[in-house]
Amino acid sequence: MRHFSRYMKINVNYYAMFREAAGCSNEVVEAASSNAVELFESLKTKYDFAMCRSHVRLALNDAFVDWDTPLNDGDSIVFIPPVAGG
Amino acid sequence: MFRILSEPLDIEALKASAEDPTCGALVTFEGWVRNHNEGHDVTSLEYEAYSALANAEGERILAEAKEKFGLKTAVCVHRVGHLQIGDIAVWVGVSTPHRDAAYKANRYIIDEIKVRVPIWKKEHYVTGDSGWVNCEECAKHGHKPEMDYSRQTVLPTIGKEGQQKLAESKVLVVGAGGLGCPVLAYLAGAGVGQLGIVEHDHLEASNLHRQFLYALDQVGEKKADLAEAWLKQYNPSIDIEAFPARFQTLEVEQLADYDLIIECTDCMDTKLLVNRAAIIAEVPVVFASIYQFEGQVQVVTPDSSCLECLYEDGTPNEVLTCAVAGVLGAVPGVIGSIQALEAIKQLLGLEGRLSNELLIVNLVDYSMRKLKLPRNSNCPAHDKENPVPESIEVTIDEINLSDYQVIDIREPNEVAVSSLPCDHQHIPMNELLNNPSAINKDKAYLLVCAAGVRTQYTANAFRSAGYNKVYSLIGGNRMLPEI
Repeated sequence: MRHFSRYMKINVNYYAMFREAAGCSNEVVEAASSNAVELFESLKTKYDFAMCRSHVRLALNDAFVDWDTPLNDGDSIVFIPPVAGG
Repeated sequence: MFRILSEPLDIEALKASAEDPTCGALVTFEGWVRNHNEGHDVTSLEYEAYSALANAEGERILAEAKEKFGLKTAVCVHRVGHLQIGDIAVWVGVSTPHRDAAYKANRYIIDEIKVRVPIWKKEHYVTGDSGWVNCEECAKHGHKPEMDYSRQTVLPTIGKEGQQKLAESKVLVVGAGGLGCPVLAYLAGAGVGQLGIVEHDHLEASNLHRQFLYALDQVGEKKADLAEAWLKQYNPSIDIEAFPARFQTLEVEQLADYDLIIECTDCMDTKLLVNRAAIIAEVPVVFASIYQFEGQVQVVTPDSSCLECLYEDGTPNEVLTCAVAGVLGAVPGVIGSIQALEAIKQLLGLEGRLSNELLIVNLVDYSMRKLKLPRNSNCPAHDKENPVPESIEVTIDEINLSDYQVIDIREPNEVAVSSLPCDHQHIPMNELLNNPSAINKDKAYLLVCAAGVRTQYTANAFRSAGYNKVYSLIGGNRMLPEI
């Protein structure tokens, strides 16, 4: 059986309002679980994000994924608020 | 080509990159920074992009547009950084042989870019304030509007429990025409969680007076895809799956995945196939058909009487379609609404659902009758050993022409005008019907006429006489490929 360290290092990237709320473009966060929803909610509480998760999409290693996709140590994620190109 | 640039756009160069010598149309769109938005005076804009994903998603949208509209070239460039009033923020250029597709494709690209590509816009206002477009609105409202089913959950027979059951239900609608439109709309509106749409036809202008999910500028497009798009906009919280194919192409295992099938075609051949396949898959079916001002609704479950029990001496082959018999839009509107209601009753096990009955609705005098329809013990459809019968009608895309002996059953004067572009025999319909020994019971034949009506009749006659490999070509001789 393989053993995992208790905490995973996740590279979190912020854009638009999330970048402003977090005060940085990216940071490495130690996550206690592979659950992206829990990670978002804890960062939402920490930085007081104004947006609830139902409007936010998740990108994992530069591809859109569902929120139930498990995270692995070393992953890079982006929280994507509603877009407004054009 | 999709690009994100931080410097001003070179419009002439972009235009040159979108041109194609084989194309008669180049449609370009320029998105400018304007000085106001939603009542605020705007002084400048800031765009920010998540480049890796934005480029991938942008290219994906261009590829989709190329495939969908037959584009020769598609170019889109989006600015990032700080932009002033009058700057060009986004540029889209597409080339196609003809203008109609170019206009549609350009519109498609810019609409998709705006909602899918991770690019964000911050507005700076005259007041000194600033705000992220879209984000602020969402944050303010807390969440997007959601479907509110309260007007139906307040019904004692539905309630929250019934609503939950609908959300967990999976329904397949076969045929998205006059009956299918109200069925799909009411089931989507009621919050049925998963809807499948089987429809192989393309939209014709003559469909529109009764098929309200479609619009005049969509004539020629696939109805399954159009219905899917309409329903997704109408109720974004449910899952829609479109099958732009004939029912025959679905496997029994796929059907078994559904809780209920709603049969909404005007084709007896298809109805009989659905009847047999659904009995084998053990999925109940709500059938309906209309004839001028009259409609019939019947529910078939694995244990009940079925469509074939109704017709003891075999099934009627000559059923008139709407195209021949005529129809007012409101008639399939009423009968399709009854089907949708019956579907909800079946899914929730509500009182008064049809069972071993045929409901006949007369819209001339507004009378309704329920006729008892007991199960016929000799009905071949209930014998599970009997395989699902093969369709008598085939499309040219579904078959390998070289597997068939082609017989042109048109009259000599028709053949003189346009003979078939492949190896074939010519035996006019009446001659063939009077002399069945002209063909062999073990050999596969493809009958061809001008529209597929005479061949359907003739193939049916031969099938009844035990010629099991005689097929009718849907659409007639114009479907055969030129050599």
